[in-house]
Amino acid sequence: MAIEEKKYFPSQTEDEEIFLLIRRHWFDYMIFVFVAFLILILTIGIAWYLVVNQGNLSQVTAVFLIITDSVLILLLLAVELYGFVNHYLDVYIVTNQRLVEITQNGFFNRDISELQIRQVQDVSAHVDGIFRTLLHFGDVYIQTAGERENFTFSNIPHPYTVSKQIIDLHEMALESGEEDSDSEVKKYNEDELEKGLEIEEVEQAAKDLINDPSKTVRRVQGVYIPKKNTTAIESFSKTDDVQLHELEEGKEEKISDK
Amino acid sequence: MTITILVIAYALFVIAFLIFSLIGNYHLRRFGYAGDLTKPVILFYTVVSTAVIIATILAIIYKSFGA
Repeated sequence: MAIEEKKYFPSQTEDEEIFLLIRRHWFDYMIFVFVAFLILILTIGIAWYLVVNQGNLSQVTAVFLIITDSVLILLLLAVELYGFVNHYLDVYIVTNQRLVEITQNGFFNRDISELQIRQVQDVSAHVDGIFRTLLHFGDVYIQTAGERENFTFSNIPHPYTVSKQIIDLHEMALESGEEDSDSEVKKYNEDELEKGLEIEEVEQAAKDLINDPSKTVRRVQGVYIPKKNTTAIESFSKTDDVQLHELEEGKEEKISDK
Repeated sequence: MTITILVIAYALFVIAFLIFSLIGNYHLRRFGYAGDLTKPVILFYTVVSTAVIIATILAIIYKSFGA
């Protein structure tokens, strides 16, 4: 009920809802885990050398090795923190009226862009490579009408389902009959002055959505879906595993028919 | 004398590390969503970093004066 009645940001119209909140797939973080693993091996090696040769080392050497080990562990933590900030603060928000892309590049570079869902012209999902295929993640390319930059949702889970959701929302928006007029475009450009604030409010809306006390959000592998959005939940529930299960069931029926 | 130089170098590194950590944790705190992984990560990072620095200081003291 809270989601139906609450407005999450001022420019949100009465029928605008947040449909999806997507983070990048966990595999995208694996490079930092690999770096951590290498540093950890080095750290353990130094600690082992220190313990084994405890009696033979001079005071200066022992202190040097202790400090080196400590520096390596702290560097490991720092690298992981940097990687986590880069990975986890990239968020894609899909409402039934707009797409918001938030990209964190390092500590001091944060890009936020948004696109009206009616400006979407073509949506395609792209999955390539063995890991992406096995782990069900990839890119969604959103081509826009006009001279606007195209959107890319990189390394997100279930790209096919997300692209289908965006297409469905786009069609719903077109069917609603609210076509862009010149006055609307002009108004939007004026509103761009306050764009930063509005997008922050979209972010706040997403925070509220996740933290909703009525637990009206269901999380499916990094994709957050309001529970009332039953179509999306059904789509996301139909992962390849489920389809495989259905195929197996079909096969069993076929065998039993024989 | 050599140990003093090592300790000073380590102290400078720790100061730089603390500044880096503050910036990183600020970003997680500022842009993280309620109920997500940012707060557990901040807690874990802070606890482990503090433990490592304290353990290092104790080990240096033990090696310099305790042995």
